Amino acid sequence: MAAPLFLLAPPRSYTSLMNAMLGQHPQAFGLPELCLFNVKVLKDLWVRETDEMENFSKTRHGLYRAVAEIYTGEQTSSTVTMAAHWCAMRQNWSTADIYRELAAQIHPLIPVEKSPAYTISVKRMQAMLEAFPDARFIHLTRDPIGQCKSVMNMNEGAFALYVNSIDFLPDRAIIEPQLCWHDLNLNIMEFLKTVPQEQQMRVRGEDIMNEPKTGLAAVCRWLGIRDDEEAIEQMMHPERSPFACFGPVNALFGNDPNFLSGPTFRPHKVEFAPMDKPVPWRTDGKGLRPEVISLARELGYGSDAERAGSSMPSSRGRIGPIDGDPVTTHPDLDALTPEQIAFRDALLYEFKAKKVKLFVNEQVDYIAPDDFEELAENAIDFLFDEHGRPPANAPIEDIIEEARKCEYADRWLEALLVQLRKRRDLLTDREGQALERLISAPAKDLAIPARQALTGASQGALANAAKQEYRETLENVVVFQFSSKKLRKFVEKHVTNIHMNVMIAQGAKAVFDESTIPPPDADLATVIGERRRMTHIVEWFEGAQAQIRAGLIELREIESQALDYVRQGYLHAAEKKSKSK
Amino acid sequence: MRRAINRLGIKPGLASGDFDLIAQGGFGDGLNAYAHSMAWFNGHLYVATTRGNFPLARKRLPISMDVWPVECPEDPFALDLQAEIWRYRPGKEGWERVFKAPMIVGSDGKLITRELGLRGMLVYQPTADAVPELYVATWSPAKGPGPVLLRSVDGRNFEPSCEPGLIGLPVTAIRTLVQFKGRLFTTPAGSRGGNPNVSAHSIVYESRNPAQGKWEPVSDFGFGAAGNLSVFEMVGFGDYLYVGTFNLEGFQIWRSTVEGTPPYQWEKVIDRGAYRGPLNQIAISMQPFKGALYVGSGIQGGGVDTQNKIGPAPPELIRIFPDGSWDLLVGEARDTPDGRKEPLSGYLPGFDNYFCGYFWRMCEHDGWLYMGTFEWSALLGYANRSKWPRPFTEVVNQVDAQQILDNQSGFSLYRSHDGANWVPVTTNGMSNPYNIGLRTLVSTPHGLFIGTANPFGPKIIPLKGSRYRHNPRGGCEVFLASGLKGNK
Repeated sequence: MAAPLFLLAPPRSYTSLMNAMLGQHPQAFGLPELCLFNVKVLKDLWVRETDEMENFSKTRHGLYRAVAEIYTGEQTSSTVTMAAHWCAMRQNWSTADIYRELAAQIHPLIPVEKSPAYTISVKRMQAMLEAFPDARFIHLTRDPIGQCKSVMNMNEGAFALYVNSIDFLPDRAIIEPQLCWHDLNLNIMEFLKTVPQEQQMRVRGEDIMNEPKTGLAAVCRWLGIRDDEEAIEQMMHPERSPFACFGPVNALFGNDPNFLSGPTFRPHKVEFAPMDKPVPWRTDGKGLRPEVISLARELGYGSDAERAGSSMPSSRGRIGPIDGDPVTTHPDLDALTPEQIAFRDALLYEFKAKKVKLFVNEQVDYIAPDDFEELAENAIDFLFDEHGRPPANAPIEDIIEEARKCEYADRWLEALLVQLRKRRDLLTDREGQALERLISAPAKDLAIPARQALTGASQGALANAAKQEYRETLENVVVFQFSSKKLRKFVEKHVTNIHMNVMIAQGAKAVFDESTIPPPDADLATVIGERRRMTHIVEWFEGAQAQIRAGLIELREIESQALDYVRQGYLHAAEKKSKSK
Repeated sequence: MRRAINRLGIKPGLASGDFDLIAQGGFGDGLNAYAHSMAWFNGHLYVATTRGNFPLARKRLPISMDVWPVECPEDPFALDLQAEIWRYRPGKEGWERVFKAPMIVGSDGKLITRELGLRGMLVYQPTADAVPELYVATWSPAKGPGPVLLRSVDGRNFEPSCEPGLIGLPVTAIRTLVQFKGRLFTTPAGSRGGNPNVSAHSIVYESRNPAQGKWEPVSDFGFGAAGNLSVFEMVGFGDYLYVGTFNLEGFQIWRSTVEGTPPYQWEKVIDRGAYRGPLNQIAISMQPFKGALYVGSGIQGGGVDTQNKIGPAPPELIRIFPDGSWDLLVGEARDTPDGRKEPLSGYLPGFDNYFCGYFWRMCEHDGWLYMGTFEWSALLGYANRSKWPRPFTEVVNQVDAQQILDNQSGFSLYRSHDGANWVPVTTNGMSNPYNIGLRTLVSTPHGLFIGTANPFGPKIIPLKGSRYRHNPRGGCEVFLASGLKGNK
């Protein structure tokens, strides 16, 4: 199979555009952000490690869209349903195997992908190389000022915050994107030291924007694929990629929303800001750090004279103040002082507050647009993206249908849960009674089920074994309580992998299958085992129900926004009409 | 707009919005319950019906209902049960009825229809230069003379081509018809005593001249296994004729090159319902697709075999390769003598739907394999719950039968481009909960035609209703998808 081409870059480095352009080459296939190498095993892509930051569920949208497109030729709610089952079937596969299967399907076209989150960790990039020893890598760069400004303009600098790109001032913490510009580029460079030279290339994004045809042709020659005019012309139309738009309602994203809103390429001359001046995202007048300027020079930014006069250090180190695994946002905070930890918490809080404010502002904008009639007309057919533009594949009917499905699934889960809880309670009672008898009765009078459980044992051994079992059960209860957090995580991990219909089918089977109730003379171990199993199933269902309800609330909110939008539009149109009379 | 083809060469398949309803209400008569067979013949679509399924079921089958959804007289033969054949020419308005089963004198001396239903249809053309002939397999009342194969050359006149019971066999129904290696193959499917699916005569018959009604047995009884109660489905694939059976221990699949002197050599390919056992009771649908043979299962009675106390359980889908190896596509993961089998689609039995009774019919159309199901949840609101397991009753009561009818009921149609990954086209009977099954699919130059099983006509008593009233969506329906329409 054709080895993939990976673009390595921090976000906002022209990666979406470049990925779509290269992916439009007749011998290539541009993918959305798959994020597969974020984890080792597919199901871990469904595990939310923390609720500290948002943007979790969107991680899977790219994979869903890719699977739908590759296996069915289109991306709709129905084909994404297929994709969810495709994932469920492979949930225990390594992500390397998943990627290889996709590449085999795309063969002989070259898969082209970028997921900026890969660059967060050298280990992730190493996993890519291990999966595809022949893979090609392009280190795509952008000058630090332009990239950092862009990061800060996108979702209030969420990505930088996500990777703990935080600077501590004496009285507060601020998001400082240059830290992650530096550290992520450093990660890439460290990783590329392990990649054969002929498999890597460094490209300045600005050069592609300025002279796209020349730059793209050079990349094609390096890849050994066609660089003729027709092929280059194809690459000039990233908007033709099937992923260059919003996806269906159950997989809307898979790329930077700004790109999804406006994927058309417009060649332009990129202006560079001076690197020795205060940077615009800070209010304290400070500029780029020397380490950042030095690395920028090494990557080819600045005039010839500046670069010539810049001394390159023999080695570079990370400059971000927070260590640990940044992507899980489980940073190692031990190195921080209590004040810094408090400042960081305050920053996170401020960020969330800003998001809420932004959301409210957007709603206000929605109900006061310029051309209500047109908006009303569009709104009836489409959901809106964050710029008020209609994404092509998300008709409002889909939202309503998805919500209906959730509501109906919830009814089933609730009804099944009632039965499952009854069954669990029955088993718990039966177990409790048996244990009660065991601990209160002299050994010779032990209950029959317990005796049956330990057939062949002496009376004394029987009593001891039964009491031991009781103690273990108690211990298990304690362990169970203490591990509830872990269990919740487990539940979430499994539940999210499985389509709600699967849940219902499995629940129905558990409820309707009478054989799952142990007979009255069943041995104690069976009763305990079945009670534990039922407790687990109940937990599992409760987790699923919570998720479906959360999803439903979200869908209803979207639906309500869209309908409000429509209503306002019609009211305004009617008002205008009556005034004109 | 949807793209015609993507960069990987995949042309998207059909979505529910691509289908137009071209016949409803049982062609204007709600007693036409099942669009039971269908064929493309001489520029027309032919659809044959089975009538009055609920009244017949009430009389003959051990099905317990609180209230029957439609009016079911004590004697179903008081109704017009004369099966019909309708035809449709794309581009022309309306349908034309070309056949209605004649009335005959039954064994009890009363007038009865000769055919209750028409369960199979095939265009037979043994050689490229031969004139095509349309054959229709019939379902005879128990008091009738037995099933026949109707034959038509002009598409208007249908005459029996063989003696009742094919060769005088004491059976009531013929279902499957297959042309293979220039010959026509069939087998009895039902017998008297309310056994529409058990012939007690599980033998494959072959004819080199069906117009003359000459048939001969070409297999041993049940392939030597007493458990094979019927030969249920047949299809040609590669150099073999494949045969699927009805077996209470799980269906079997047999194959033969049908060469040499009859009875031919037969080889067992799949045993014990692909090792799921009784829950894979019948190999109900078989279809070759892109180098493999796809087999859908089912339990008679819509997924609940009350006679043999099997089910309810939803069906599975497997595929068999020419070398005899097989994949589980939709179903329950299990260890088998052929190794561990995981469902490659990621779907549990019935495409995750507990109420799916059969994977009923399949059809290849425009590079996609389509699968239509039977789904019985529409009956929940009418069924007598006294014998249900208590938890089941409580769950259904809590979810509410009307909610189930509104949100879930109706057949499903799925499609797959590679046979392993399946996309829902509709999961609610094309927005009609009374379309409980998708019984017929035919790929034609004009598009994909599908015909439904819908016994909820002509009048229905609504759930919680008190009287029967006209059901505008009761009776079989036919849909046509000519191509991709919008972006839904």
